[in-house]
Amino acid sequence: MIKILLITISFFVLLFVESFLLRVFSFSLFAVVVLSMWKRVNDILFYTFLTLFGIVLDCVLQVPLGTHILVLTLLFLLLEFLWLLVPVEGKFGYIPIFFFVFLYYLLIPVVSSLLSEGVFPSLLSSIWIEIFVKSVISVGMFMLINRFTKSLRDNKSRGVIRLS
Amino acid sequence: MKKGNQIKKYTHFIYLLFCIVIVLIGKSFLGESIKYPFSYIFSPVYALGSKTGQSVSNWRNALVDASSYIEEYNEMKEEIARLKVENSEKLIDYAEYISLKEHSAILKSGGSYVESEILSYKDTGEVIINKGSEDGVKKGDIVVIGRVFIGVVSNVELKSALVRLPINSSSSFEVVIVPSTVDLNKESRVDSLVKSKGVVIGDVESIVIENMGINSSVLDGDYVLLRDERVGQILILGTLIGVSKDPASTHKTGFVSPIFDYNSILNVFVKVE
Repeated sequence: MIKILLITISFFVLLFVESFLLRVFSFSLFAVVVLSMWKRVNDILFYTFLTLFGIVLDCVLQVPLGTHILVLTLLFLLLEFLWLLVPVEGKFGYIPIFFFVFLYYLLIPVVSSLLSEGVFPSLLSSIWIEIFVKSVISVGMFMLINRFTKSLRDNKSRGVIRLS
Repeated sequence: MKKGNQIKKYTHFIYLLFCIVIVLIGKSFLGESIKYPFSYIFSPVYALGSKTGQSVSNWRNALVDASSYIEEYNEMKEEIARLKVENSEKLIDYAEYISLKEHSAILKSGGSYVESEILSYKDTGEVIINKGSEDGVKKGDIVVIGRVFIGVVSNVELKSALVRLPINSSSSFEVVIVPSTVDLNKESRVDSLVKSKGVVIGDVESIVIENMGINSSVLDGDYVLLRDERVGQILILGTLIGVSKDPASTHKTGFVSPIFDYNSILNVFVKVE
């Protein structure tokens, strides 16, 4: 019961923070959260969260229904493919993450414009630079979350033998 | 076990099909029914987050521009002192001022308007306002400030709506150009004053005007008025700038400078039937 309450409250807090950051910096925390949850939580839980939050974002941001979840699903498929070429644990393991976030910021306006009006939107050069900077910041945040979860895991499982 | 692993391998593709189904449902009549409960519950949270972000953004801009504000404040103090000295003999009669204000129409009569605030400005030339279907706003409603055209409502939720500005790349309207010397508050019929017709098209950060008559006498500074059947009334769009001077062309082109900087507008009025 408490777990459900905490999840509901976290959902609302995440939406508040997402709308705040979108307004102030045009920065999406949702992409970083979803990336951090990928392959870390149960599939059913992950896809349920993705569907619900994606639909909520589509409603409040006035984009066609299904835009966010469609873009993220396509990007996850691309990410899986990129991870075949670039090992996750390698030196360049964060490059696919960078492309994931970069394409996320690029595809959301493109897909929403194509779905709503059937028109490809014009993208100024300043937008590309903005997306690049936001992607770098997102990769930085993802790295921090990764390090944090790794250190938590290491602290918890000190006395446990792990079979990889 | 094997079946479970196989299903797990194809989860992405199954979810992709699900996403496509959601997109198709969104485009159908069921889309609004699905969006309604989410809009009802989560739009207030989004509006609150957006407003909080706006106030932080304002403070940030104020801090960045602090030195220019101080300079501007000092200049204005000097100007106020100078004007007070110059105009001490020319005080306006308060009663006359009040009657002039009553007679000058800010909003065109003959329509009901819903006042709304702009929640956010999108890079695609659209804004989200805080009024939606529960306030009587519908798709296709015109958004104005006085007689100045701001945009057209392109999507409506329960408590918010998306307004497409003239700078959006999907916007195109028929316009007429009238001389800059016309007093638009006095002239109600502009047909005899039209210099040329034209078409305005949104181009991300600007409004392009095309198809003006090559022999027309349009000049920089002329008013561009919207006269489009989708809008239903004559509204002011902006002023003409950068008129092309190519004698080899078959028509004139230019740009329209909007009356308001769309980034700086806070309140607008939606004309509802």
